[in-house]
Amino acid sequence: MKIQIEQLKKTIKGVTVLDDINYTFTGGRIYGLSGKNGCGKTMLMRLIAGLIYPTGGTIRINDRVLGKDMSFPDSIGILIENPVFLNDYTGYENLKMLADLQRSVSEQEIRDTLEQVGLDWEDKRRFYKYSLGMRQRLGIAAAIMGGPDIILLDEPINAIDADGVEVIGQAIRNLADENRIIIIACHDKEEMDYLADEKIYMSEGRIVEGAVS
Amino acid sequence: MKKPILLMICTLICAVLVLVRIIYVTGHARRPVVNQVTQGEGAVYKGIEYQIVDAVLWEYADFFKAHSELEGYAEDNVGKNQRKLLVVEYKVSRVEEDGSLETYIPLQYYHLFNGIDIFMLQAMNPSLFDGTFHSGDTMLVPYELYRENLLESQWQEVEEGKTVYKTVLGMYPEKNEMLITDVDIAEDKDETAIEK
Amino acid sequence: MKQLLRNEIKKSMRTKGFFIALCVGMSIGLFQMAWFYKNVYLPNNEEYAQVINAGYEDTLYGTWFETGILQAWMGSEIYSPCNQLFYLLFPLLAALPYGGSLYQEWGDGYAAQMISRCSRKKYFLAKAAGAFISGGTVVFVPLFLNFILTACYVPVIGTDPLSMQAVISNKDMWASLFFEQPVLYAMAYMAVDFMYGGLFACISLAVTHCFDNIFSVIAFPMLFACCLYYGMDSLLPSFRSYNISDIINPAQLTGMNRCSAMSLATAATVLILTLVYCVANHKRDMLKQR
Repeated sequence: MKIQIEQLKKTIKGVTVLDDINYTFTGGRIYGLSGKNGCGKTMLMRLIAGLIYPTGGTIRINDRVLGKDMSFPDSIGILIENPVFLNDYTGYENLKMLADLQRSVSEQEIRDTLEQVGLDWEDKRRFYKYSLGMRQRLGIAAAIMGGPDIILLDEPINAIDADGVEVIGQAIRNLADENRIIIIACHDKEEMDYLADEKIYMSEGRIVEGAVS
Repeated sequence: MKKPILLMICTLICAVLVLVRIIYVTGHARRPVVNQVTQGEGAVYKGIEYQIVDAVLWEYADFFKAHSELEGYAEDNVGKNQRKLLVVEYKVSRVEEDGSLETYIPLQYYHLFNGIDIFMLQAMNPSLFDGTFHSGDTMLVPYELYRENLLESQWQEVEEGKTVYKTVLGMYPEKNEMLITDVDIAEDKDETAIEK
Repeated sequence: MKQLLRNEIKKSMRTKGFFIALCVGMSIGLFQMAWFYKNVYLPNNEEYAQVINAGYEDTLYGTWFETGILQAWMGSEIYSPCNQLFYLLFPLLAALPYGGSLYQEWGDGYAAQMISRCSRKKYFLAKAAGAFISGGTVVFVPLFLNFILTACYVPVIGTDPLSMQAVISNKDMWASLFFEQPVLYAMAYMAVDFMYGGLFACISLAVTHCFDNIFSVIAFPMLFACCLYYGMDSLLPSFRSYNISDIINPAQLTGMNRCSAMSLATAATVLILTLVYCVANHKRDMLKQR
């Protein structure tokens, strides 16, 4: 599994939010994107997910150009900004509806994923009754359900309690061991140290030179 | 599983009941008994028998040219070939002693009907209104046909005399329909006024 | 794709907007039924009793008509305000269930979850299908139920032109059906209304990115229809038969409805809508959440 980013640029309404991004992500590692608010972490994730289009440069996933050879990555799970689901459905029902689109995720896998993130799959409460922490967990579950090849998580342990952080951290690490690319964006150093194998620092839309570790 | 089946059964029962009710209501609709007579046959209404003797289709302007005494009833600015006049002659006979003559005899054709210009009717049949009309006399009833109320294909049929008209006496409980299938097309000729 | 369609249609029928629109439509339908029963059906029955006993000299003699279904059905009954009210609200009712869903999902990020699992094309197609079906259903159901319930007390018979109770004339569209086959006329127009309900809902989807609030997105089809109804009638009267806000009303109030014009207008609407929808969403960035 490989993601190659070459001279990636993104401009929105005349403002350059990402400029000359060059990087290669390989499978089996957890990458941590770090930087101040507004440095471009989320934008980069959106570009990799195919949610927005680059103004310049390319993103190749396993040598296929995103936006040309494919409109979005074949196997990807995302949690970007606040997780949003359908209010009138339970957590399980929400995941089931998303899983049905791909047909590659069984009901047992959905149940296992919910348990992995610390949610009860039999919980009859609808999404609008979930607490912030529960919503975050469900968002993570949606991202990792089915074990996609690429997982993008934007500040995943926001609003999660200490026990939950450990549980989720373990779940993410298990997935990385299976040659997946996991990219986690966070601005908290502790969070970064806890989760990431390789840390990438960004500032003002660029990867800071010499700041990859 | 029980609930959906129960719901389905209830829905089915309701649907059947509604259908039965609709069929019952429609079946018991208070429709008139239609008494249809062919041209020349008599139809009795309110104790009077009416028989269509003749039906002539005129080009609007030509009719008033031929009947100059009725010129006052002609509308101005009627374009050529936009309106026709169907003049129907009825033979009227008393059948019952207390019979009542009906002068409002609408003309029905396609999905519309025409009423009568009562003033023109009066002018064409003065005996109807001065007490000199007798059983066995005829009365002329003019009907105006408007091109703007018809489709082009329908107007074409009117011009060619192919339209089947019905004059109607009474709507309920009995509807008498007198068919007009044989219409004479009046030529553009200078005729004298109708003698009564 | 099948599953995606199924999901979207299921979602579109479970929104609060769907139930509200359905309730409003059905309330109008029920009110119209009650109004007609009280103000037309009962007086007509009273007149029947008089006519049956009338003598030759009575002016009422032989003048009575049975009320037919199309005189009573909400779609073609114009004595009460219900027909006008329903067709004024028609675009709003159609857009309420799912017209704002793209705005909502795009803005809150749920669309990202969907698009990352299926292609954009499929997502937008399924979204349009959901809006179309829910929009059509929400206008079809009140008309259908009103027809069925009205038929429980008004016979399903044609209208006699002599009764002067027909809302349409000989030259109007489907006049033969109206006078002779009232069920077919009503069904045909319900099909037209279903289609246009769906199209109005899709108009909301198409203009999603033009507005900053969901109310404008949902209300736009109704405002657009009002502009067409009043504007086109006044400024371009010779094009009235192509006016989609006139086409939807079975009462054919302008008397200009024509089958060919309706087909052309429908085709043009579908084409323009598709174009706008595609162009508006082509390579659209999914940026910050609202």
